[in-house]
Amino acid sequence: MEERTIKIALIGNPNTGKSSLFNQLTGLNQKVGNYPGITVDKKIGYFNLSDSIKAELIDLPGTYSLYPRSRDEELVMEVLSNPLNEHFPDLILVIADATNLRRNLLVFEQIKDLGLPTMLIVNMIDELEKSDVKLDLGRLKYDFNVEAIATNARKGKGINELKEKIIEIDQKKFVSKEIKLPFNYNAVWEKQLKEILGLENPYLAWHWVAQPHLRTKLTGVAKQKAEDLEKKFNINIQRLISQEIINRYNKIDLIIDECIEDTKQIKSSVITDKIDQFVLHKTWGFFILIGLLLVMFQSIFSWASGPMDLLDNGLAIAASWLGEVLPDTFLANLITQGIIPGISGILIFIPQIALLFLFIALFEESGYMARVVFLMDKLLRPFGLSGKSVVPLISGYACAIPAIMATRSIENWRERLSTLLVVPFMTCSARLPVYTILIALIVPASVTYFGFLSAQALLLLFMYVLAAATALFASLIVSKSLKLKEDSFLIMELPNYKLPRLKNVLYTMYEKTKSFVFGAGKIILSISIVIWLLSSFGPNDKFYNPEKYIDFSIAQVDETQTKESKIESYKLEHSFIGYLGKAIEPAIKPLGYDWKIGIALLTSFAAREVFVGTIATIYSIDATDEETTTIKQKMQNDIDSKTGKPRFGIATSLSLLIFYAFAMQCMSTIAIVKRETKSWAWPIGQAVMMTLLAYLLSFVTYQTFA
Amino acid sequence: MRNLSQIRLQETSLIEDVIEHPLKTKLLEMGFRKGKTVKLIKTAPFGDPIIVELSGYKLIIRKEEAKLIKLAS
Repeated sequence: MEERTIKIALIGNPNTGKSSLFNQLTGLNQKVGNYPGITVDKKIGYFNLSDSIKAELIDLPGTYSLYPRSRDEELVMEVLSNPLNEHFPDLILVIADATNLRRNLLVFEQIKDLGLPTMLIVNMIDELEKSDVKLDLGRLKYDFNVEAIATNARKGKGINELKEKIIEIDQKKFVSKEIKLPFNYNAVWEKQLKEILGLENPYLAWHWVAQPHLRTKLTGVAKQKAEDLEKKFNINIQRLISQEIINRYNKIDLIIDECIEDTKQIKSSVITDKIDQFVLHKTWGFFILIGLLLVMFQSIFSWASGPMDLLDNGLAIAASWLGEVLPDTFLANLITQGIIPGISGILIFIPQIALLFLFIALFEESGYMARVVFLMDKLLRPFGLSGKSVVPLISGYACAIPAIMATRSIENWRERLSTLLVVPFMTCSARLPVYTILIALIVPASVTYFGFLSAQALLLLFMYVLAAATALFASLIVSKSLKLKEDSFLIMELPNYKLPRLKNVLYTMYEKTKSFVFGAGKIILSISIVIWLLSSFGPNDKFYNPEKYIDFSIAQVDETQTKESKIESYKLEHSFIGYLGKAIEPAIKPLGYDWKIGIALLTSFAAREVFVGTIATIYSIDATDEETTTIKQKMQNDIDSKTGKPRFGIATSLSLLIFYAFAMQCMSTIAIVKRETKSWAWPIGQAVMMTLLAYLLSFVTYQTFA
Repeated sequence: MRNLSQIRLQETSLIEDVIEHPLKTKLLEMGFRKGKTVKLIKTAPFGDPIIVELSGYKLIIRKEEAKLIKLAS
């Protein structure tokens, strides 16, 4: 028998158990991709219907209607309206929440009129049974003239029956019934509209003119003709859509009144109401939110550090072992000093990403995320952010990479963009090593207030507050200056609490990690190789034969400086990146920096914490002695030969502190913003703006304190 | 005539209409239809948004959007 694949589209309202059903059907046999040009996750899964029939299942974004309100929702019709689309289905599965049938059936009625084989899945049937409400499924099937089954996707009930029904529908010769437009219309207009678009189905033709994103895809001639037709027949699209929805609901009401035993009301969940008394309480609600965010923050900040160190050390050991085994060739060095550290720079983020998405999946699955939006919306809206921005922003205090990935849960593109553009201002953990050294240079550890508040701790706290304030302010500016058409509104369902399904949570963690490694990984790897090349080669002999040029006799007597460390320092100074550092000295002089800091600024573009290592190399501190205190002392003792004053005076150190607070200085962030926005313009614009801001503020700081 | 942003806590009211607005269709889709009952369940700590109950489910909606929903007197 010949093997063949049925293409199936899964669609339905949000919170109907759509992803549970998807996971039940496809198991791990799924992949997440992106639709071309935009950044909505495209989930495709595969499963077997029989020995000879395979199914390809596409999970379309959750929607209440075929008329889209967001970029995500536009996708639904992009797939369903075009037979040439690679995912155009042979069969559409519409999943509906049994306890909310009327609203769920609206999109089902619309889909049915697209004229494709359609099947209805009444999910969460157990919830209905719990409320002792009886659904007459036979009658429902008859009245809507559709194949339907009842399932409980979370428990896996009805899945086999569903597969059998799919085969059954597939074998029937499907004949689309005559479709009428769901509102009052002029038959001549309908006929001409179908002619202009060359479509048999009037409802499909209507969507091509009623939906602006589809309309723009029409040819110029067709568009013009459709416009003329609308003028001639005085068509008001919005009014007709309203009429359609009212008409459809009236029909649904009539049928559902017959199918659902109306004597008992569907009970609103008592447990949910009880939990919400605390979770949505005007004081307790915030305590609970802050508590949960603290646990989440703590986990990505500190629980992730164990596995991160393990990965880091493991790869370092691997690299040094390879370095000893392999001959000293370009290729070997490229592997041990360029590629392995680059891979390590990618893998290092996995624990944080997995942990953050553990929390996000728990928040989303349980229904808590909607409560976060309810509590935070008023506070964040003035800044052009969504209530959902709070999770990415707080995560940004640990690391911008998972935080930016977390902005996917924000449906509104403008709010999502504002959030992901300002997240890098948050004080991520990579800034801490830099801050620790600089703060120690600025205020001595001995200074305390009221006997216990250390001045160093206060300055660090100030940096955290400054970060949050900057992020909010920047988001205000971003959202004001971005003229994006997507309007901001909030009408969202408050779902009942549900116990998260472990399977769904694990899928999310796995998917996000995978998409980071393969999506942003190659950019991170390429940048780290470029930086390695620049610091491993020099333009002249000084780099390659440093022994000839270094005057070891005038070496200071200092136990931290060995011959090797002096050579390393000299080589870095005369590498390409060293010369680049010197070349930018005139530009950074007004900020109080010399070429040594210039080199550190350039190398730490890979990641902020590299600053510490580079400074250690420049001051020829032996690699085995990379202690913060040693570096701090070295920096403190460095005297500017021209002025005779310490090079790292308060002004320079403060200026550097400010620079690291505001500048992008993180290639991984650039890579992930590129991935999440699908464009180089956003990450480059973001990096340029942040660096300019950092430059300006560091300039002001230095000039004020110098 | 009152609109949904003016409803009192725990009060139940009938929906009269949704006024003409780009969000009208969205509100209709979400179930704000003439003749349906709506009840204010909760107001957020800072006064906005609100949670309303509508034919057996709860919706979070900003007052700005709630203003578009006219209530029967």
